[in-house]
Amino acid sequence: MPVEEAAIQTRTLTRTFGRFTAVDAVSFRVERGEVFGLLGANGAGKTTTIRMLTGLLRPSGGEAWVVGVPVHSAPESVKPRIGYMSQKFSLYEDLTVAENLTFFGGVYGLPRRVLAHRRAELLDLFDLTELANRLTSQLAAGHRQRLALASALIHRPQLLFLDEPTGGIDPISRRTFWRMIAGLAEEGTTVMVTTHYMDEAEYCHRLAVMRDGRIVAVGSPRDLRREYNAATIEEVFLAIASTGGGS
Amino acid sequence: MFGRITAVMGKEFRHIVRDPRSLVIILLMPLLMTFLYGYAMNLDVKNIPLGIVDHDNTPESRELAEAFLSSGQFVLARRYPDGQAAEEGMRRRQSVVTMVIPAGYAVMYEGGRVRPVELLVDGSNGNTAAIALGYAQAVMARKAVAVAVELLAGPDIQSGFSGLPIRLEPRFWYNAAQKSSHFFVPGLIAVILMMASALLTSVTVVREKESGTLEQLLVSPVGSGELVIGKALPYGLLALVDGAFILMCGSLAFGVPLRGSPLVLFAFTGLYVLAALTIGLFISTLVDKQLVAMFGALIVTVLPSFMLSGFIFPLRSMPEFLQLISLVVPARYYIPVVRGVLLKGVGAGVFVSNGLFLLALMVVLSVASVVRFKPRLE
Repeated sequence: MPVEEAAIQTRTLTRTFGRFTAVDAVSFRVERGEVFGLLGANGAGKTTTIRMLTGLLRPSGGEAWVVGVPVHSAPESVKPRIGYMSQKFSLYEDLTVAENLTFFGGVYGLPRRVLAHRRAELLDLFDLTELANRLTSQLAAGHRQRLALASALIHRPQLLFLDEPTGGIDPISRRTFWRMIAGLAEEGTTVMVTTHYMDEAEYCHRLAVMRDGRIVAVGSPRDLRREYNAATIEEVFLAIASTGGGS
Repeated sequence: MFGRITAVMGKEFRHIVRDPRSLVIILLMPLLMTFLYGYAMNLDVKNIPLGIVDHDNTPESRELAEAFLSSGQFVLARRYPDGQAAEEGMRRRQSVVTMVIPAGYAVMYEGGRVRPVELLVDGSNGNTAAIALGYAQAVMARKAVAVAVELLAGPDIQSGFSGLPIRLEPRFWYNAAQKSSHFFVPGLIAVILMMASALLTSVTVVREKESGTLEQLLVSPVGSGELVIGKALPYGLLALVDGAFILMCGSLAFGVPLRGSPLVLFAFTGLYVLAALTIGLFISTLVDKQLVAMFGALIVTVLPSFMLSGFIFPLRSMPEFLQLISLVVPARYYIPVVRGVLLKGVGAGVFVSNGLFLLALMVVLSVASVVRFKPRLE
């Protein structure tokens, strides 16, 4: 089984809630160092897929290997090796920027000296050093997003999950954010991201379009545009939505 | 593992220090409750207003009235000319007890027929009425014996009267002055500790559910046990400080003694607080809104700790099913210990079974919390 090479490999991964099938036999593969985008309308199954891959949700069927760990049978073992940033930028509002980083570092079991070094590094990288002692509740949305990303990276995860990471963020902050993501990928971190901003899809190396719990198209943005004879990913997306099927 | 627990603990301490609500619950509420209950929840009945209707108006009848007023328990509300005026006085709460001395009361001294003295007691407050009646009967009994001795043996003997041949000599131990506060403060410690601990911990997990940070914790390697311990310990320490604080208030304001070993008290309080914390944690694993968690914690802790713990009402006189429910109320096991250690100076040996019951409750609830605290969202 060639799971060692892939960052993520799923085989007919399925999740049902009662009679509703949120994710329906999804199979895909994400290579190491890739920025992989998961596109789809609300309720297409993006968040459910991510939750299964992060060990938050047990699959109803199928298999998934994340950084070589079978999450369908050992969801706990994957946790130290992945980072996760949810769409809510879940941070502790009554802690300062530095305290949030310290807490998440502690939760991932970083030794004190390593933690101090890593915290300084991330504050510097995300341009938050001056705000280190500011309470999180007082931060602007763009800064909160950067802090959430920094918190998700404190333990140097091999794979980073981003669930709608740019909601409520101004365009300039969004561009800065994507530059950082590209930088991470260059250093070898795999990134899996969900979004419904179609312009952002262009930043991904490869995309999967989800509809009604299924993956209906996969490919690089360029391949998808060519395949659907479209100028933008938005047109690709609309074409898929209107024809009701993939290739 | 220790690193993760201390990380959670450090974070919880910061939440506590920065949240004015938790400081109010920790510091202000115990202070308020101790003083409010300590002063207001007073079952002592003193200075009962006594109305007097004296139809006889003889030296003997005035002597009887004087016996009541000099007893220390009654004060003169008013002397009424007739029964109707006395009734009006009772209705306006001028007097709680009215004594009606019939005309011809004194004729019994000359060997005439005994005319009973009528005693009217305002029964609208049963507790006060019972105590007032008790006092009145005691005064009346003393007076009756004195009169009987005088009549049988003649007035000369009365000065040498040394009392009855058989009599009861009651003595109150452990609370010689019969102060209500000595009775209440130990119970209050139990109620306040239970309420504050359960309230604070029930909110901690639910707050993280609301803000979404719980999801962030669930994708991290932190285990449910580590999370439960890391969240319970800071509040446990605070509750112990809180307990000492209430004890100090009780001692300074009401003179509640500490006759037994502080160490025994400390050990049992630790156990009790842990049980209270796990109740709070367990509630927080069941609900999703902070408000619901707070109400839940209050209902589950305050009422049973007051009513089903033997704090105010003795458990033995309750219906059997209530006695059964009381078996899972931690305060039931803790209050006897606090009373015993504070007022009686009893050692730990007496309370082994109480300790075991508390321990069992705590273990069951902790296991339930950790199990309920699923590492996955469902």
